[in-house]
Amino acid sequence: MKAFLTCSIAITSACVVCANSAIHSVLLLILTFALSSVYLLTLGVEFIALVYILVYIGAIAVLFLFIVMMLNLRAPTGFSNLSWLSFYALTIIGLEILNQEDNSLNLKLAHNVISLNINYIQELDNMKLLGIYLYTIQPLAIILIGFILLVSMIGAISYTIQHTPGIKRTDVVFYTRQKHEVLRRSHLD
Amino acid sequence: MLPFYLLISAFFGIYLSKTCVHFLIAIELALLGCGLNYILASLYLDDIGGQAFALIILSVAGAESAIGLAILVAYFRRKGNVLLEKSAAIKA
Repeated sequence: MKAFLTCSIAITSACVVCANSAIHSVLLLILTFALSSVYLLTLGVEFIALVYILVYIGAIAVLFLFIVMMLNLRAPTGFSNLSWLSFYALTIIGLEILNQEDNSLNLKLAHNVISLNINYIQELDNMKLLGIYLYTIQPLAIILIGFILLVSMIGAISYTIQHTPGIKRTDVVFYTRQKHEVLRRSHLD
Repeated sequence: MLPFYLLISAFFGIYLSKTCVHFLIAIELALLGCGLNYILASLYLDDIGGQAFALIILSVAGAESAIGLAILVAYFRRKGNVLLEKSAAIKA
């Protein structure tokens, strides 16, 4: 099962690289993400696998699809460098068949425990373990992720914003003052 | 071995890419390979820190794709295509 998954992930990644049109490349990229998520599920890393589905397929691949559709790139279909692709795929399949006896990756987290205190050791599942690690032991990492995402959001907006002249904008101060004026007149009346 | 395959295909993709979209997709593949490498190492060493680092790599990949695609859209508005014309500079 794992050898099959590894072979298929490697072959789909080679197809991603070799596909000529961007839309085929993105669709194969989605297939690669889904297969690697299944691979992680078979390894017993549930939370990361589900987050990979959510973020990689739900956010990044959809963003790529949106951009490819918006730019409307015209490219020839099919695969370039087919000889290289087939050579690569055959090499991977051979290596994987040779590698099948090696069960070094057939592991789980053997002791699913974390020592929060000296005398408090608790058995936890993957998600709780990760949450405790990130929020108590490494909280700076979360803050760093937040800053990175904030900066990327501001950067993306400021790259793509267009200031077109001649647009009538709402003058907030003017309208608020006008509203107050109307209210005061009604009070006076 | 799987992260190694992904990284090799990503590097070949960066080498072979004709448009910026292919370039960004290859970088996504490389980041996926890095994350898988960290996760497999965390399983092998029985340490949860690798999986936490994979989450950080995931968010960095999201930020990178957002920035890269924004630059791509700005470039497309200016030039009208997204071809990597001087790919000889990379290949040389």
